[in-house]
Amino acid sequence: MEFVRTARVAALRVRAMLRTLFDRRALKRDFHDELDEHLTQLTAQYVARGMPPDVARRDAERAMDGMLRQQEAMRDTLGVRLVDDFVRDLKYGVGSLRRTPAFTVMGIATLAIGIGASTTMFGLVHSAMFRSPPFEEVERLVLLNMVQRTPDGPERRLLWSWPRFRLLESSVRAYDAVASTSSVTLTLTRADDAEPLQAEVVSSRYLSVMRARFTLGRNFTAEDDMQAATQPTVILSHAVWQDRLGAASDVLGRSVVLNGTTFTVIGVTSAGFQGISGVARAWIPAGAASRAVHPSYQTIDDNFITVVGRLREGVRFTEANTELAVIGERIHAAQPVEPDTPRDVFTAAAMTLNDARLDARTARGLWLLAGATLVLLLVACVNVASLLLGRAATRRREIAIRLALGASRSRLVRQLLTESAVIAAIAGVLGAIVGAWATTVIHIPATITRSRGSSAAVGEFALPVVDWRILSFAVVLSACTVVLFGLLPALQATRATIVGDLKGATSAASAKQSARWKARFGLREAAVTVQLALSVVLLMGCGLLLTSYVRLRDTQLGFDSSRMLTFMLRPSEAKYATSTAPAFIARILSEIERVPGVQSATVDGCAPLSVQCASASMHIVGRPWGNEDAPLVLRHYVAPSHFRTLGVDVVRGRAFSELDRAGRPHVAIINEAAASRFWPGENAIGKRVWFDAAATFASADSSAEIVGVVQDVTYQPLDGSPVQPDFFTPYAQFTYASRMVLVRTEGDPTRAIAGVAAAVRRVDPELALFDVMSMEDRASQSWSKQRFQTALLTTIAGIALALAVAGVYGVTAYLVASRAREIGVRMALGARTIHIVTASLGSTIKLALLGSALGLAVALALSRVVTTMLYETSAVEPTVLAGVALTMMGVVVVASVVPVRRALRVDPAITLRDG
Amino acid sequence: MSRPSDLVQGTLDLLLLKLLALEPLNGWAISLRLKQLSSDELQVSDGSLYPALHKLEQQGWVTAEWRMTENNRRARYYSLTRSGRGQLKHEADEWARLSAAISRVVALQKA
Repeated sequence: MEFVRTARVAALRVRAMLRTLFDRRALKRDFHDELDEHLTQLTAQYVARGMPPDVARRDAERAMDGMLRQQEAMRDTLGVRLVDDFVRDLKYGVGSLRRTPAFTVMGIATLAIGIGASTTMFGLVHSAMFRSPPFEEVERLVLLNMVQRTPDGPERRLLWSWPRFRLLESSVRAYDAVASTSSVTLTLTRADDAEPLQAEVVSSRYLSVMRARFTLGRNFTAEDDMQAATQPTVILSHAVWQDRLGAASDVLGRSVVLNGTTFTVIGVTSAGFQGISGVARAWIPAGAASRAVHPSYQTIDDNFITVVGRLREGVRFTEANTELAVIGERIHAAQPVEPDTPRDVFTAAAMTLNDARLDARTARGLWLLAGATLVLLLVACVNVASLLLGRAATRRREIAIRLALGASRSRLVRQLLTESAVIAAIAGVLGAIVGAWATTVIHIPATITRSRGSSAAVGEFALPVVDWRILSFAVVLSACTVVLFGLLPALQATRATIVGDLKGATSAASAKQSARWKARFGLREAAVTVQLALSVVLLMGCGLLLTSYVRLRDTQLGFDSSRMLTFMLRPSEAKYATSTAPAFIARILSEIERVPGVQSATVDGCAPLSVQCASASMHIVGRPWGNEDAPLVLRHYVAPSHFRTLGVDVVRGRAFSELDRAGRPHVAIINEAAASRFWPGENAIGKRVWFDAAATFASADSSAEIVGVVQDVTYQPLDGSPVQPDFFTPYAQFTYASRMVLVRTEGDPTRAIAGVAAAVRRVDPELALFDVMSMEDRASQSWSKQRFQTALLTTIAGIALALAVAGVYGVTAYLVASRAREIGVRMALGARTIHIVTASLGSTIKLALLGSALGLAVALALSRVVTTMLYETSAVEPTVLAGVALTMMGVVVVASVVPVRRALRVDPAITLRDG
Repeated sequence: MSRPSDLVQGTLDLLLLKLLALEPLNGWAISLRLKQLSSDELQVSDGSLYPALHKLEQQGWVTAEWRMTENNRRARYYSLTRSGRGQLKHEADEWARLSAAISRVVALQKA
């Protein structure tokens, strides 16, 4: 009951306040009319008693103690004093900000930069880490992995083979359903052209697990899966239906040719759905994969299938994982995962889609950038606080007078804070605009190191979207900054003793006064020191990333990456089995080498700097590994012209020749890393090796003789890990048909694309060129993430440095101005310019040293954070330390010399007279 | 104008609530009615009448609306709300208790 009353009174009060704010005139009229009525009645009464009307009116007014006081009192009873004060402060604040446009613009711009940068970063972090992937009830979607635990190694998350997935599917209970998917690029062939089409090979329940909706048609059924080998069906994405099929309403039942196989369209998903890979434009049942993708898709013992599950309503994640651990062991017992050693433990585990989608490196980079942005915001706040402190100094008389007249300190603080709030509000609006714009412009480069985490085909879904969250973040942030930059100066400004300041400015010589000048300067001094320290932290981080990035870019890749065109050929392996693949590749290469502008061409499983290189366990004839696991080495099936085409030197022995054909002795070439790892201090040439994969070399009887050693080439993405051992064999002795083609051109590689594509289609019109890129683009893409982080951090650090410089400049200018008289006297007495400059510089250099020392200490304490992101760069890189220190000193000196010189240019006579 | 005894603090609210319980009135009428009913013993300074009325309005005990007076002028009429009635009863009880207690003390001294 009491509560209801309180609530009602509160409601009435709020209504009154709102009315005061927005309906002021009506309210005033109400007050006025009511009192006027009273006054009229009173006058009439007096007149009735016989008074003359004018006297009656005057007496009546006197009796009412004057209208104004009445109105004041009434407003007080309405409890609207606070609102009134605020409105007055607002007007006052806006007025005084207008009178000092330089200060206002500077403050707003500084803060807008800080808020804008923070809002942008928030948008990026939010889109990459917190915004749910675009699926219904996404919190119940999980990724399931086999887990391999090696006692002293890291835990590895593996994908599934089809047989293992089937076992899993039939044994889990904690899910509505689990479904399989693998990302493939199909070739969509039409009458006159062929184009790549990103697709997912899925089990029949996949689309219902993902809760896909349909614009047309239906989902896969178990029948589609069973009849897929003879009557393959396909579901298309909304985008493909619109762009490639003209949004035809009668598309259901039509045929499309994918990888040379004719599929019947049975459905079109609703707009926006692109599967768990985030890029899928079509879905085909796993049963159709053996015809269109890989003949042994459903039988091969490779772990390449992603499994996604939808948790049953009410089942907790941990419960599901407990069940999965047991099932994982059972599956491994039934279908052992190779390579198995007695020491490894195999089980299975789930992770939420949200955890799975983000590469750990991306996340770490984003957090680092977010931290840097907050530091930038802090620098901006300190800068504005410093400006306010300076402003308070020029206002102390005004404030002292108001205090003397009885204004309470809290009232004055409130007024100063209102002024700060005006700055923050405008800056907030500008910052939000900047942030909203920047979030749509800056793209987090899609990760290509994805396969290292869980190796699942999961998209990042990191597309930033400007929504209410980003805007409210800007609002909240702006409110926080008011406290950050406004409170301390406001408290400081109102602390002044009344007497001193009233006699104040004129008797600047008094000892007490100058002591206080110093005290106030101390606070600004502290502000500048903090700013410098924060900037040093950012500069350190930026310097390290920059150094790391430059080293990354200048790394010797081991081959000539200029004038090189690369692309993938993915013919269906059903059409080109490994027995016919060498002949197929030979035709492709000879067609390409006949194209004008092409010097030579070769094939490989992967291009340098990519993650797609295949590996195999390697065995050395006459040297069994015993208890050890056979080491994994990268396997390359290449053309005789391979090393010549890439510009890789043969260090020892020979390159392949046309004579190394099928039926001839098996030969292999290794890189220097392999030679020094497996035959240290020995000559590797003449040794014989065989591999678990690739049937041709799969036993000691069919081993290959090492005939050459070549330079190391960086096949893995650059991340500081050592070059892996590479083993090359001629494609003529064994190859898959699905290959990366590397073409050395005479000029710009992109100009050869059309000719090369035509050459490929002369061999097989159903073939499309996938992933066409110049080698230089491929290299730059491989460090796109580092470049992104470095560019962003450099920008942030640059802005912070600029703000810090502005801060130093402001303080020095202030210091010099307050000493103008002293400088004038010394100049008049014949002091030399250089002495005065050095004397003034002394104090700012002290600040710079203190700030740098503080900043370096913090930076070193934080160095652990960046170490993991650096490439061949130590967190205490001496050149970076020196560079940061020198930069800092340099800018501080410049920022201080300028105002001093300006002061010196003024005729001493003027400063003496005016000062 | 002789100054009648000041109203005991807080009793103005009670009087206003009581008057408005009888019928809705405007400010002028209230001041007249107060004088009439108390035989001119109680006179509220015009300066405190309106703030008091507005405070009652804020508390939700009375509501106000613009109406025409008998002689066709616009005036703000106050009337008691339901919770105002409750408050009136509460304050009247308090007053009765208080005045009885005071009377007892005063009577005691006279005896």
